[in-house]
Amino acid sequence: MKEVYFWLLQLVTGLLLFFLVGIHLIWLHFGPEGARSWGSMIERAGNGLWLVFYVLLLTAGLYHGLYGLRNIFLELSVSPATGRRITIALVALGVVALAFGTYVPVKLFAS
Amino acid sequence: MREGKTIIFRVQRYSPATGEKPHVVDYSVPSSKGMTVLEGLLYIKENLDSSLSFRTSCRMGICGSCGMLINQFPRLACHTQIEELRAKTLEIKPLPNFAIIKDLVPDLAPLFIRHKSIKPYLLRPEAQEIDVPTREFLQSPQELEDYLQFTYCTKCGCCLSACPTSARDKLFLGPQALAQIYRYCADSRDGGARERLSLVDSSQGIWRCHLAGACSEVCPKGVDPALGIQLLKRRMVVESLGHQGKGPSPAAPPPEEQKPRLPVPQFTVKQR
Repeated sequence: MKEVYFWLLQLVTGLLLFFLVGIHLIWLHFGPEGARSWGSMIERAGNGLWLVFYVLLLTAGLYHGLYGLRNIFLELSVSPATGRRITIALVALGVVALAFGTYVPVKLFAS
Repeated sequence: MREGKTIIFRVQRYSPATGEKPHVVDYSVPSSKGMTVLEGLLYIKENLDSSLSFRTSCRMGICGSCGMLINQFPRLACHTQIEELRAKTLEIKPLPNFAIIKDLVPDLAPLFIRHKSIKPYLLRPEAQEIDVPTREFLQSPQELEDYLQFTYCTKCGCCLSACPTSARDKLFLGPQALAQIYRYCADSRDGGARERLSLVDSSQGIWRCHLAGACSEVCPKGVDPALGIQLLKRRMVVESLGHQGKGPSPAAPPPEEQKPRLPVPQFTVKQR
């Protein structure tokens, strides 16, 4: 994959995060009473729309954050081979974190 | 020339060849109205210390030889008047982010190697036109405007010395080379965009630029390399989404095929 697509995805996820984090914060601070409670979170996880919202937020956040972390590592003048290893390690970390982060709300949704 | 006050030139001296450590030496230089920092350095060399080394050539901001750090800001010494700095003491150091050959002489070889790597000349589909051009290529004044400011680059190295990414990442191409890639890709006569864009679409390529804008801030020729890099990013994104730009402009017809010029009208002067 060309670097331009990585960068473009970072732009898209940045834009997504602006709206998704915005909605998340508005809901928690100005939403219904007790929106920040555990019970309310469980209730939201039972809603398909909220489930999609949170999985999307997690995916965008993970990609955007890990891409930034990769940039920091690559700026240490690492060799191309080391750069590839760093990329693979961060992709693996992202996949594991996404799987774990998705498993919890999906399980709550299913139960 | 009106005589002015005396200015202290606090110059960093360093000679890696002799194993000498970097140190600072103060020189008192009588300044006058309109006097440049380069003239001050020439005064030191001629009258106070002939061992001081710095690079200079044209003395008029064209060759880009005398780039140095003057009062913590990369400038051309020939393009900076002492008065405009409004300081009694001038701190003069070599450009950062470059190895030092001696005193104020930076090793600009990495800059030229990177510049050469981007093929800074017109690439044409007809191979013979690259080495031995036989024809002119059509270009409108508007098409010239697209890249004109980037042709003013003198390769002085000021932008590279100010770039925070270049300071950290020695593999980064740097603002000078990236802006020059845009200069050639935006030239309607050029057909080498794909070749050059694939060169910078790498993990150490254009995507390492954080748009700090320091390169544009310090450019003594008023070039905006940060703008060039952003426009290049946009072009790469647009092309990655499948939109291909138009090809290089066609060659101008040879002179014998041109239409004959209209005869010059015979004006007459009214006789009184």
